Amino acid sequence: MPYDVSVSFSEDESLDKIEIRIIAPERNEQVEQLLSRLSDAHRYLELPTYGGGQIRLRKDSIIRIFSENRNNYVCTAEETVRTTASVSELERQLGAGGFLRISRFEIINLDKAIHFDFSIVGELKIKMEADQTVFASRRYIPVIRDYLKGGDAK
Amino acid sequence: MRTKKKFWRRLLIGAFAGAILCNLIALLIVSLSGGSSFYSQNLARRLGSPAAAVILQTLLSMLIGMTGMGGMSLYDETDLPLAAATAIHFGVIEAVDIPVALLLGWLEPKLSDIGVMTAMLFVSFVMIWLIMFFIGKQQAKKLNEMSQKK
Repeated sequence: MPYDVSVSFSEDESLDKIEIRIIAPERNEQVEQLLSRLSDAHRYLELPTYGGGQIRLRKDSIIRIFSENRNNYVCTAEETVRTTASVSELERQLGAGGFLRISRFEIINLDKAIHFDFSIVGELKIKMEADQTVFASRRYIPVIRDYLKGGDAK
Repeated sequence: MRTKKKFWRRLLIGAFAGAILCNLIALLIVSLSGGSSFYSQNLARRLGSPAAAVILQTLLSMLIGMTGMGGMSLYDETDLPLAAATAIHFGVIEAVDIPVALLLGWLEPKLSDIGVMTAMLFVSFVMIWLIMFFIGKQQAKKLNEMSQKK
């Protein structure tokens, strides 16, 4: 039988991380599901879709997120998902890592970059996995260099 | 915010550098060519005094410096492709420098003189673009090396 769930928050300034603790009368299937979802949550991106549903995509499978003709898309090697979430909303969900905002309309996953080149018009041409090519301003070259050195793309 | 500050700082530096450099170049040309003054006599006559001609020359020199230095923000503070940034910078400098040069008497109002100055500016900007293009190519090459090591 599923138990009712109550959520509470307590502030503890001595902590240096977020700690989620589940307190239950027993470790049943409901608890296992909650544990699984919470421990995996930071690895997934929740995408609201036009049908009113939601799609979960592993963040490390995402190649790029872009906006085109007022539609927003999340692109992996297998699929391109159209979502109602804006590029900025998705950027907030992504958090730290290899994701880099290269324009108002596009975020790329630097871990999926295969080759860099400098185009004749003077933009950084980035060949991504799944045969995708994106162009970024020269201003992002230092940011990419820092990330490849082992830093953060933000 | 940082971008705006950098832009204003460049305008300021450009104004000072323009005023000093243009007057120095004018002095140098005068001393080399054996001329009598580093400002246009015609301009002084039109304005009524040599001081007014020097002041106008200094102010317009500041404007030249400001467009040159301020325009540098097009390269590193905007998302414009290099070719577009170079073309806009060239256009702005051409639009300012030619009328200023004509007004200050640095340039004869002849199509051939204007053509030579435009050509010199054009070649300078092609060289700027080429240098920055090869720097970009080197940077991309470095990114590929770093990406393979990662």
